[in-house]
Amino acid sequence: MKIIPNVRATVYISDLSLRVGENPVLIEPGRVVSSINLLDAVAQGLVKIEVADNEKNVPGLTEFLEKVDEVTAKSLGIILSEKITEDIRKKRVTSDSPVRPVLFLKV
Amino acid sequence: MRLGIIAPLVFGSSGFARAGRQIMFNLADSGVELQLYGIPKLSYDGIISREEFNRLSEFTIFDTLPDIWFNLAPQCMFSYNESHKGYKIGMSMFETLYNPPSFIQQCTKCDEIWVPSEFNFTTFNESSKVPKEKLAYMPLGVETDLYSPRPSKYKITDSFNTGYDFVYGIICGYSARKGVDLVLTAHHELFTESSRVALFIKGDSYGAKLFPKDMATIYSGESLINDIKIHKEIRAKTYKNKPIILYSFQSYPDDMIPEILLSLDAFVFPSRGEGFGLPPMEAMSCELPVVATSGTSMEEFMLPDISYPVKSNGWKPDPRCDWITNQYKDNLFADPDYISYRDAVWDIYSDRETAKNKGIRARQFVIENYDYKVITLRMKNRLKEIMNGKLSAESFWPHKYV
Repeated sequence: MKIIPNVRATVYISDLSLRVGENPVLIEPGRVVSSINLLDAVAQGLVKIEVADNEKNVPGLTEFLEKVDEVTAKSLGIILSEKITEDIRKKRVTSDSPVRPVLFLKV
Repeated sequence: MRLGIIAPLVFGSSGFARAGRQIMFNLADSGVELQLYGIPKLSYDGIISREEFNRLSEFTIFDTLPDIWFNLAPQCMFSYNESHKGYKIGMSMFETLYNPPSFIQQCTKCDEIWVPSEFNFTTFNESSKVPKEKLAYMPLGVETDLYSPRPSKYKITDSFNTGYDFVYGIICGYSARKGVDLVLTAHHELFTESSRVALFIKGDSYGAKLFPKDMATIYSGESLINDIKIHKEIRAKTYKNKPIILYSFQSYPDDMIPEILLSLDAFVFPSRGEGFGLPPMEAMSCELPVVATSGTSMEEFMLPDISYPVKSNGWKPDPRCDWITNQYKDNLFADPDYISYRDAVWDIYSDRETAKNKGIRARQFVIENYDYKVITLRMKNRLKEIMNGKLSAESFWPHKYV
């Protein structure tokens, strides 16, 4: 499994079973950056996780990915909520947002 | 016949205020002399049309006492005191299975209570202890000339002028009471960003704060609806689909509401409790297919032949409504069924011909039973009975009580 960093660190974990629920060490190539909970890191958008084909049978992977999915969604939900709140306040609209102020166009 | 009216909210923009104005205008048109009491000051603020304002203002000029008093008051906040001599009618409504306890005392201020729904006839009789003889069923109505099918003056879209194939919507005070949890969840289950379908949500200023939180819940993959089992089944779709929502939390002048309705393809209203249910009825008058809960007051007009009734799974408290009024705390609401709601929306989307025909029949039903001319004639007839000394309102009970 590859943990893709959105910040600085790049970490490759070959043995997931040792890491689930524990505190993996995020390292910048060559040195330790910080020690934080992996799911927290995902929730904070510090890292993104991808699974390689040869890792799909790792025990506990499905359950772990469900948790990753949950925290990722939660994080995204909070970000989007803040954005929508701000959009409503400023009457702003962006094309990538599925939530848009209505426009009644005179016909 | 002179009718003294106490209706302090009648200059406002709420459905209750609009209903009050229509009752007054139609009663006046039918020859009842109106006297509007308790209006502290008269200055035009643009909320209602100038024409309506002027007409209401005329009702404040009089120099005789009324024959009968009529107090239109939300939540039974009747203003009667010892200075109000003569026969006193109070009109009110409530949306839960049990009326607040304070209603019992409030109702004793009146000689007769008018309620707008069969549901409220029962709740005022059973939980507010108003004897049936003192209860009259007086439904509110719709201006069927204004809420009539025609091309809208507006196309509903967004600032990119996106062309949508299907836009359906809800107009409400945004809250769980109105079933917005079902509306948002089903929209995200049924449609995707590429569906060319948009949900229109028209809420109030509270909605501007609550709506983003609800969206965060959806996007987070958490459940907005109470049924966790169903949520688990549909979760993958609801938080990944990202279908379009068009929102507005601003106020519109009265004459804009029918135009908004006419720009929609369908109207949804899976409310947990209504004393009458004016928005779905106005939509029906516009020939829109309507999805709404067959529970509380709406049960009497959400009929399968003319609409898409959402079944209710009995009665439940809903703490998410507690912030609206403490009178909701621990009270019981209808429980609109999520699957029933979702399938009804899909039925309209996938079979527009049937939906259209239901809409046509719905308008006919509204014209026959709920046009203001019909309901104010009913009111006038009861006023005549009172003037003639018939104090029991039994001729004005709902059919099931006759």
